[in-house]
Amino acid sequence: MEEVKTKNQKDRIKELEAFLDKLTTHPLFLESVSTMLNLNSYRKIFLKRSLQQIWKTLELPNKRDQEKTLYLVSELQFKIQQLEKQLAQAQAPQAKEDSLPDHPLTPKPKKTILTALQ
Amino acid sequence: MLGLGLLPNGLALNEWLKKLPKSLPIGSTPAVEVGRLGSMRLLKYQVRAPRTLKEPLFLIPSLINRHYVLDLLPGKSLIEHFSNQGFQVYLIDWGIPSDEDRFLDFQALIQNRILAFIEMALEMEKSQKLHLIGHCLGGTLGSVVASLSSHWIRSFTLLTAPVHFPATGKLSKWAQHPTFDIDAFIEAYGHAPWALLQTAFLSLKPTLWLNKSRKVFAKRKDPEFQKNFWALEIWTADNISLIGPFYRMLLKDLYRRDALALGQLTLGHEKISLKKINCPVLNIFASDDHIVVPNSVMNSSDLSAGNFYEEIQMSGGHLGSLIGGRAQNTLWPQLSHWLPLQEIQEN
Repeated sequence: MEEVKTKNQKDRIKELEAFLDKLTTHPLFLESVSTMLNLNSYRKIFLKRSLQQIWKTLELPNKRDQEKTLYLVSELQFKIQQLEKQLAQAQAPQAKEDSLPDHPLTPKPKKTILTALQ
Repeated sequence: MLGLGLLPNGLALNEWLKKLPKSLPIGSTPAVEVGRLGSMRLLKYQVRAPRTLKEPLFLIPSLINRHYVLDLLPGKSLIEHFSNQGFQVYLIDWGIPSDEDRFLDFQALIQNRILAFIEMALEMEKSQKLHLIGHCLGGTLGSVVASLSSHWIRSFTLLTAPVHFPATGKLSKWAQHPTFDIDAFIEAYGHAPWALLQTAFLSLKPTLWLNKSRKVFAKRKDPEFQKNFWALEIWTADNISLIGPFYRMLLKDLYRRDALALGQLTLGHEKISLKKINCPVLNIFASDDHIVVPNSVMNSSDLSAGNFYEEIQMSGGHLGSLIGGRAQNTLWPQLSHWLPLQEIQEN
């Protein structure tokens, strides 16, 4: 009796799962979720841009500018560390021989600084 | 969705829970922070036995959830297992993306974060090569790294990692829907909010919680089961937001164009091709994985002919196949046998 009950429960769960699978991959469902996400994104962008404009009018840096500056500062800091490491290696040729050869993983400084600044 | 802006940037549940008395010892294998770049950290784990692997293991965890799933609980931790085997483990902890990380593009993520951490690990170990292991999306990123600089990699192991994205089932159906404006979404939110990702993953198997509740009730008197169950639940709920530009690349290039598998992905001016990987590859995937379905993982034809490729198909789901009881008895010993073998064969 108990086994039959469990089997019925399992079948019902499977049916529910199949139905939800169909629902969540139905084009109409995907369309409406996309529309909702898009509308919310556009609303947020509109608000952000309006606020940015106000800050700009007041000649103050906005949040996005500050975030970008912070990011670029941390990237520059990383590049400086890489350059310092390369310089130390170049200045100590003997030490360099003893240590590992140049790592090809080291990003090319000029190229990456330019990339970060773009 | 309208309230997403009010939510904190990531739950970081584990940090919060650690402060509670009698909390579960999640992620407790001793490790020290040996490097930090932005919000990301490089962790070096303690080796608990004489070194049996000369070169270090470098783990790239998934970007979506926290890294400690590979170090869940004492006795149920892949990292602890490696430490006990005498392997030196390094791992990237992605941390919680900060607001300025919205400018961290794919190229910077690979070159100025992952490759920089790899370089740090190589320098610290005074080693020429390392063993790379990538879990889930970390494996996808590992494929990119391995195709860029294979000669620094002794071996590459993929743990349930997708490479063929259009074949990922429901997730790809959602991601490929053409009306979803990804650019606007990322411009609005900066990062892909953790709440959205969590909702998406829960919707993959919407009735999973029914089975879980039944099981947890039936085994309510089994303390070992309860401990493991709640540890995994904490990890599942501890989502972090996905870095915006990476999410954009993931959806636009990988899910919609299958650019990685087709060799059309670029990093700066360099083309990424899986055929450039020239180190031994071990691919571990799960037969019942509903997140990374079996036909979305790497196969030997993705690599150039003659490249050493081996695969292990595990039974179970996305995580159970890697950290479950069967994995501990079969997969983990296989891994700790396979990795040193790659060093012997090379020499």
